[in-house]
Amino acid sequence: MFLQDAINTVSLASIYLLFATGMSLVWGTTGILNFAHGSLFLASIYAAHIVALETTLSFAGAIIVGVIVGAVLAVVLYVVAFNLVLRRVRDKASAELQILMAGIGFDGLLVAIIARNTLSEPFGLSNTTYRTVTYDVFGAFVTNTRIYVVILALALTTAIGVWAKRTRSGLAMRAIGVDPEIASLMGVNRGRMTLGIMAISGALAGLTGVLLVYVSAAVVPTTGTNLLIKGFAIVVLGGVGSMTGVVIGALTLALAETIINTYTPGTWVNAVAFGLILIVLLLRPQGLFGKKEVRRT
Amino acid sequence: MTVWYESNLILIQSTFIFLVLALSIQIPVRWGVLTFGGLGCFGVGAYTAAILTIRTGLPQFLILILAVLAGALISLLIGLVCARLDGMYLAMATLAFDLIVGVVAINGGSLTGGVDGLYGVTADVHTATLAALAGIALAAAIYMQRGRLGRATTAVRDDPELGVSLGINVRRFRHMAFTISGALAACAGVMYVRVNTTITPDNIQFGALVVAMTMVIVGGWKSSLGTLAGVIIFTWLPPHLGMFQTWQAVIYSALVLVAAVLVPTGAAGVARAAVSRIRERRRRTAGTATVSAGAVPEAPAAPRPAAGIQRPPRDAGPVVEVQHLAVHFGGVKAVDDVSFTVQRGELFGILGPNGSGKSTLLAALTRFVDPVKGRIVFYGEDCTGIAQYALGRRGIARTFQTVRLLEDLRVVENVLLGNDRTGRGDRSRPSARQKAARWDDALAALARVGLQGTELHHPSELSYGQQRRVEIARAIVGAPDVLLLDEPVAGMNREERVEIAALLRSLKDEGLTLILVEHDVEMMASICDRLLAMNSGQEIAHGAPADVLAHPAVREAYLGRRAAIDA
Repeated sequence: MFLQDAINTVSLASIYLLFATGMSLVWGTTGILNFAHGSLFLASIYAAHIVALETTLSFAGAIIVGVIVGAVLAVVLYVVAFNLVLRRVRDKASAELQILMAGIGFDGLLVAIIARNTLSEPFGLSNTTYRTVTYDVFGAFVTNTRIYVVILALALTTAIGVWAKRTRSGLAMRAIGVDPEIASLMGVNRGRMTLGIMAISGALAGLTGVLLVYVSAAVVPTTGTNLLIKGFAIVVLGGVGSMTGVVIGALTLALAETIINTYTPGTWVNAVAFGLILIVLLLRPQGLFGKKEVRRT
Repeated sequence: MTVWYESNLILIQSTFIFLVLALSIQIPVRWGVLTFGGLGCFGVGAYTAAILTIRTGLPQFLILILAVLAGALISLLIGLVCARLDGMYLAMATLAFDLIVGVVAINGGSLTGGVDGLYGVTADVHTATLAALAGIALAAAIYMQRGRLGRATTAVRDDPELGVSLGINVRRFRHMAFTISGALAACAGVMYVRVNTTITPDNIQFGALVVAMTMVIVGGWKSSLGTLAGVIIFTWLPPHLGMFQTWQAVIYSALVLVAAVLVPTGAAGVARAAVSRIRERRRRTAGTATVSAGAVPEAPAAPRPAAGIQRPPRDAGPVVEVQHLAVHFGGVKAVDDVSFTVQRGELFGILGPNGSGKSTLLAALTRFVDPVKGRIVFYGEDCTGIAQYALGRRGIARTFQTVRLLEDLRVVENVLLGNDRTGRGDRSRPSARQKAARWDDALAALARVGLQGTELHHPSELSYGQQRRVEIARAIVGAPDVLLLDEPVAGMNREERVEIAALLRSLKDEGLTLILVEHDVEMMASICDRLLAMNSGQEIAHGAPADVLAHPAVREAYLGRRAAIDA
């Protein structure tokens, strides 16, 4: 029983980790809380769903479709919405409202189109060569899908962490997060770097989407919004801009949800994320691993 | 008429419900509080009303009051918990609250009816009642965006720090925004459950929020009338467009996206811009002085003291006493053990090179940073730990290092802001005569700094030097006792510097106590009565300007070691 809970927690945390890492990257470097991140995730699944209606998709094929659609949509979102707002805006307060609204508009647009086409029914991948295999490990069940999810999440987040800490372009990305103007003056191509970050973030959302649909068979149009709140909770919990924080945040949320799911009846799971947000905001507003800002007037 | 009314009853009722819900979003956003908690409070109000109607025999108006109170209270609670959050953080946290209301409704068992919700909540409902509620909400919203409240809430939104320095209790305003939002949303919830006789968890979905937000954003979030326009458009248009139904959510979202990116001020903003352009053209053709005719007093009279400022006895020793003040940022000792006193009517200068801690000292004096040690005493009263906004109400005004004017307000309104809360007027409503007097005071203050005739412009239409003088006008309009100026001539040319110096000197001659932070040595030496020279957070010299400037440590700080030795 304990082992099963641990396996469930780790695989759930891996899904959350992939999703939240994309949010955290964009948030940490551009200061934008991408409200449409959940819809990128959803649209990638929907794209794979459409393709799977026409032709048989392999596991890798579905992932490729999801990753490409996620990345392209994220870049489109940045170019037609965020970048335009940032270029036209007068002050920071209006910028925040407009970025938020643009994100909500984009999110709503994708979700509404998908909800209209699917009549809000659950959808998944109908034609896929992928076969789920279940292994029995000391009395606990684990599927090959979950193993892939965990491996991918660990590999990708480690790669991103190493890239951010150890490479020149990673340093450039972090520099934009600290001070975009100074970073530009030091020769960082801010526009291209931001687009790259958006693409990576969208690709991660797409990957998360396809993986989740293989784990849980089907999603509904509101899945994206719920995941968005969870992603927010994870980033807030860990502290904006901290990779370690995202990992710990994802594990904490997954553990809390697994416990709630196992030991309480009903559908209280979605309330866990909000509870975590509340606790963190009350006790440690900068997050577990975030640094407290020293501000001068 | 009756036929029209009967056949459109649902739309008419929806208009009133949506208006109240949309205002519950528009008002806090107009105040700079990005809360989405309205949706959750809508659910709270609707469920409270439904449960009370089914389970108790309470009269309907009492149920309405209880539900509205519940919504207001919960919203205020959210506001208190999220006190430290701003912008997007707040938006996400309140959205999480909305989702939890849905979760609670689903898990509420027989009390909330679970997934199926509550049905058959029948009670008489008159459209007139709905209209009255919506009308009250709209009237209140319009009242709050005009006059003093309108100026204060604009400051709370665009520059809370400035607001606080002008005596506005920003935190209370934010709590008020949450409370009002919760009350209105809950009211909309009650209206909804009355009309539809049912409430289910599906009614508190994110989609409903997007619809209400479309109305607010497309109509114009800065204006309640714009929101009304948005509500009318999006309630009445869809039924008249056949295919619109299935595409409704898609089109709404697309409109939000387009509005957010291209027309952030919405229909109301576009209308306002058009109106002011027409007025401008008319003014130009009809000569200049149609609006401001006779409004400017002839002589640059000193503004009258605002009534009722909480001002301690006038002759009680020094005006400002600073004792062993220390401010640290982490390991940096920005201000380290600084003491000085300023006498009534003195022009006291704080001099120092960049990074010497003089601005931090000023920030500590105005309660923007907390000192780790020491005391700040105004008029013998220890003000070291008082609330920031309380300082602004004690006759202590300040200007900032950078221009801090509110672009949404005209020049004269920016100046009026300086007089709004310096008195006790916070609670009492000023009479028409008082309002007129304040308007005259503002014009007088503008004249005092040499800016007659600019009152109806927006700040960005003035030059940098003029903008800085508007700030001085805003600081003196409330007739403060002490004025703290942070680098008032920074970035100005020589002529402008001379003008500002003369202005400060004449303010001093009128009895105002001034504390001036600056690194223009020449100007400081010529106008200040006494100087405090700082370096690395510490006092290096203190006294008459000539003595301070001759001090070796000052020469070293300004001219380098060699010059100090040569001297």
